[in-house]
Amino acid sequence: MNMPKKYFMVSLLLAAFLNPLYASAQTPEERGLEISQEADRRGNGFGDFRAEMEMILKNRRGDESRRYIRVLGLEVEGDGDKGMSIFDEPADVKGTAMLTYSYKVKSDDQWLYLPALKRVKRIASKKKDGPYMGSEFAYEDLGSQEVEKYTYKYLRDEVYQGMDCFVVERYPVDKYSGYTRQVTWIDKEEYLPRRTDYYDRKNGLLKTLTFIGYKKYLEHHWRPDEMFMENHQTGKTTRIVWRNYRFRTGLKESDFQVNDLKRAR
Amino acid sequence: MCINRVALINIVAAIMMFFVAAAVQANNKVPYLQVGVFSDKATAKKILQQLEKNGFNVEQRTVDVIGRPAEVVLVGPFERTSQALYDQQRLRDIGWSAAVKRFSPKPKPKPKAIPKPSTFRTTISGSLTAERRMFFDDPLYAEQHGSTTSLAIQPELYISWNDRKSSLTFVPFVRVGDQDEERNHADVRELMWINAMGDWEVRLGIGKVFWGVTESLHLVDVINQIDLVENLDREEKLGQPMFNLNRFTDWGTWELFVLPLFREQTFAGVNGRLRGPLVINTAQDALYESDEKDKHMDWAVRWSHYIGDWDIGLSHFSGTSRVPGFVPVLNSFGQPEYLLPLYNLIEQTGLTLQALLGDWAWKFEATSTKEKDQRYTQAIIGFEYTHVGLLDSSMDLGLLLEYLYDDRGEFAPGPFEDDVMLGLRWVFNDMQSSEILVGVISDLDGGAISTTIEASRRLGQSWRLGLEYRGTSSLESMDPLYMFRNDDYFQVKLGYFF
Repeated sequence: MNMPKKYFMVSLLLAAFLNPLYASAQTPEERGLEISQEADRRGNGFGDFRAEMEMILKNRRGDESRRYIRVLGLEVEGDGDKGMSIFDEPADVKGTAMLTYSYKVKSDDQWLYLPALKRVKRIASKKKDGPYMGSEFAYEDLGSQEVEKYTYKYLRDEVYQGMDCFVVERYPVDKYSGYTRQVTWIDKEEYLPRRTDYYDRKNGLLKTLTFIGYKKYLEHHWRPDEMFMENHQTGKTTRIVWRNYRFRTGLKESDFQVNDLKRAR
Repeated sequence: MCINRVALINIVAAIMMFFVAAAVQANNKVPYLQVGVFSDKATAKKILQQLEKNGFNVEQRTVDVIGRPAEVVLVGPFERTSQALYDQQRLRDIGWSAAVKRFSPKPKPKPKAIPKPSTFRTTISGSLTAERRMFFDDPLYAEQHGSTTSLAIQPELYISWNDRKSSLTFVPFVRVGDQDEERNHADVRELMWINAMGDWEVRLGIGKVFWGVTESLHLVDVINQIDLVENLDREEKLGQPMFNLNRFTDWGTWELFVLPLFREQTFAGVNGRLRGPLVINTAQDALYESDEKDKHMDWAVRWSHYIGDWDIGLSHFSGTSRVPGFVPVLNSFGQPEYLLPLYNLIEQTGLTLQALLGDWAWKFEATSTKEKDQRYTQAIIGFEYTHVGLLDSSMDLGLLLEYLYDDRGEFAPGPFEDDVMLGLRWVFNDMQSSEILVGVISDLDGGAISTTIEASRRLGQSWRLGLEYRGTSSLESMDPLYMFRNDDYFQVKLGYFF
């Protein structure tokens, strides 16, 4: 019984030695997927987090509107993450809260709590391409970025803002997505997204998202201080400023139940 | 003697077993099935995925093999070796051989057991809203007015502690300045202590509860009384004193309510519009079927759950009906002078269903009510279709259609017994969160139509402007809405939120 196992091991070790050869035969799709999986792997293991987010919305005329949102997140092993956002401002929507269960393959579950009516409304997650709170971020831009939600293609290596980057194109699997494709610049050192270009359903350049000021939390969890989204078609912009990131704060599954929305505040 | 020896051996063996078990426990290693050790990460991952697909719990460990990292593919952990052996058989069935080995279980993410000091957080927020209502037609009764202006304030004090698991909320409400003295009223919308402990939640005080899925009318939603004088749309509610216990399980949410005090519905007064020829007198005690009057102990239970894209809710209410009947009170000439509301006792069972199918939300609500010697059924069925990204913009357009049914037909106290509601929800998704809501309810056999248009938009960061039109048309004198025939109005509302 031991013999075949040993033989198997040897063959596996051989395969390991032959790996460089094998790598050169990789297709751009395989390489794109590999880069994305590595980026995902490095982002894993945060457990849970809490943070505060300020959104500054600007239109072409320069009019400004701000939103303050508290965000809770829970990593779910083997599936998409769970998230809750609670709105503190604008004051007319204070107490409004949203709960999202994201999944790797099927579309997300989402609930909205309207405090004035004390009503929890299940919302069709098909709305994923709709704007989040009137901002230039769509729900799908802010949702959990599971590897399985896209297919990939490695395009090229490029120096972006002095960093060696992979340029990877990804295509949403979900037919309800608002994009045909996204082009992402991922730095080679930490595998962090530095910039994403979004292409609309007609394949025209729609938006650019830039990640600014990554900071390291825990041992190896990088989070940007700011995310800046610019809509090239409307001239509107949204800047997200993240504050007070805390990890492993002891949040549990039971903190992400539909009933918790009514108490979220 | 012989028996004793056997017993002794048994005892010794048991003690030894105990120590062995304890030693194993102390060692803190648990059985796993080791499938293989690989130098190549990708191969290990592939095998892991394959095993995972077959329904095995898998784990990957990196070990040091002669100074080189190697990947160990494991199935487990198991509580007992027997369970590991069972899975070993299952693995063999799909062509994998594995050996039972003991490893320390993966350290669970440490639940940070820093008992936070019970810090109290206090926030004060709320709104101040000025409102002007202008009626298109002259009033039908001499005491009524042509337009009215009022101011409503609703502050909110929220104190939380224990990481927001416990809280106290106080929300008073006051309206002043209206021509109608009945609209100038105050209420405690909320004075609630909430305490959540794991899967349990206790609420004690005065509060508001919403049950239901439909938009035109809320049949199942029975806990709170309607603050009708605020708006005919029945969305404003009076605070309800309650004791509420909730339990959250994997098979849904269970809610229990004990409601010790009854709240009377509010109605327009002598100077108010939107009333019939006889004023509903709320200054006098209302009439009740129960001898305990408004102190009758009502109770309600509800179970709700969601399965995939389906939501279901089943509820029962036992107590004083929130919907009154009316009894005319005669003056000394034998003429009716005013109406007194009459609240009967009811037993009401309710069902809500909702299915989210793509852009379609299908909704169903039904109640079966026993009141006096009568049992009747009310139901609403309909859908909301949302078109996202109207004309390549970021606007959403929702189309709502609901059918309202009451098996009492023309004898139903409300105006909705065989009606259709057509609604339009236009959400701009812009910086100002602009939206327009249009609702038209049409009586299928009477031909009466009631129309509502609501539009609102944020101004700057803290203000919100709301416009509202409410009108009725083509009315038969038998229709309950006939009394509002001259009361079409346009309303402007400006709210400051803090």
